[in-house]
Amino acid sequence: MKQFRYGLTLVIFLALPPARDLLESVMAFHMHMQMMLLFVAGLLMAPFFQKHFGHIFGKYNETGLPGVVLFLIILLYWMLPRAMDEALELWYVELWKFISLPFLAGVPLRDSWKKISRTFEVVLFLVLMVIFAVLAYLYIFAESTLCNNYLMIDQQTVGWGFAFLVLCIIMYILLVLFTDQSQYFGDDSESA
Amino acid sequence: MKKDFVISGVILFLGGLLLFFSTNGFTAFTMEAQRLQDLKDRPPEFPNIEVVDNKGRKYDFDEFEGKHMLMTFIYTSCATACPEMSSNMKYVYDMIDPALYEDDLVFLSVSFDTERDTVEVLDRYAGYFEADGGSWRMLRVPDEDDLEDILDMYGVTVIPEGDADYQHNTSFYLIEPDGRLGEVLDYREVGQAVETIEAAVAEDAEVSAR
Repeated sequence: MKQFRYGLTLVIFLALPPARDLLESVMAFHMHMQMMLLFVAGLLMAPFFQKHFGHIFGKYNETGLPGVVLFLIILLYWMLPRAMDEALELWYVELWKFISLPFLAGVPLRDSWKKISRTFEVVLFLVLMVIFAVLAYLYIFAESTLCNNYLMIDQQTVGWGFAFLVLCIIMYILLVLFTDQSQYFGDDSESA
Repeated sequence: MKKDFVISGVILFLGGLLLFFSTNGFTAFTMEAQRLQDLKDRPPEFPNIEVVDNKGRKYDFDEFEGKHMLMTFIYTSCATACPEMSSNMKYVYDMIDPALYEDDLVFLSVSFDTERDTVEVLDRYAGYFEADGGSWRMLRVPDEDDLEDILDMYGVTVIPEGDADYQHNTSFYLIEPDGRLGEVLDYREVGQAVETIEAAVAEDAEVSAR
């Protein structure tokens, strides 16, 4: 329950006008901090929903695949340059951002995470890596501004942010592949 | 297991619909693209503004009504895109059949930095590109609301960058004789710009000849 409270507090904090203004004033903050934190808030709130609406998750997210698909769809939507512009200009898109990222991306992913296999986890990371690599390329080398509300330099910063994420994912995958996780986390990681 | 595939399929389908509708059928991934689509669909309306050209002449913008216009938006102290855009515009200007400039076509470079781009500055700038002030004019828009109007009308975004610079759209805007936005052309593709302009003017000449 503690986690739920932290998650909810985080969403409310992010929704406060000063926090919103600050985080939306710079494109990199907007994409790599605000959206990321909203997603994290969803992760934190997941156990609460699993406890109270466990039967729904049990029924509709049995193998974890639907949750992952939902997460990827929401992720892809928010990677559209226009989605970010519209969040700044249309209030209902902004509201949609505060609902979709925590509740339709964070919550289902955490519910799925326990259910999917180790291999699927790595595949998912690889998929994310490809998506982020494409975006890094797009934002760094785009010759015109993709978001009307931000400058070129902001856009390139976001691109490098994506490149950094790709690097992190690569390092994580290498770490998982070449170290024996069971030495650190007991038997819950070494099932395959 | 099978049920989960069905559910995933449904989510994919709904997600596909979401992406489809939010990108106008996968045609507009940026707001800019959407705006251009909307602008083209807008009913014709001629900008009702007053301009001053690099020869100091003052007139209403309807002066150009009935002509195709190739328009760019610049500021003369720009050190990056504008000089390149203007010199490409000169290429286009030189490549097009001069007969067209008589009554079918006019080139306009509109400054959005009204404060610094005075008539003298614009005339000097026009000199660099051999713009004659007739078939290629450099314009300033003295009234701030008027400037806002025309930028808004053709979907040009100008964001101040630092103290003395602006970030702005760098495209050739081909405007129809009725004031509607015809095409937005890549300023780097000079050859293609010439073709598009000549085709647009020729098409109109045909229509009026009939």
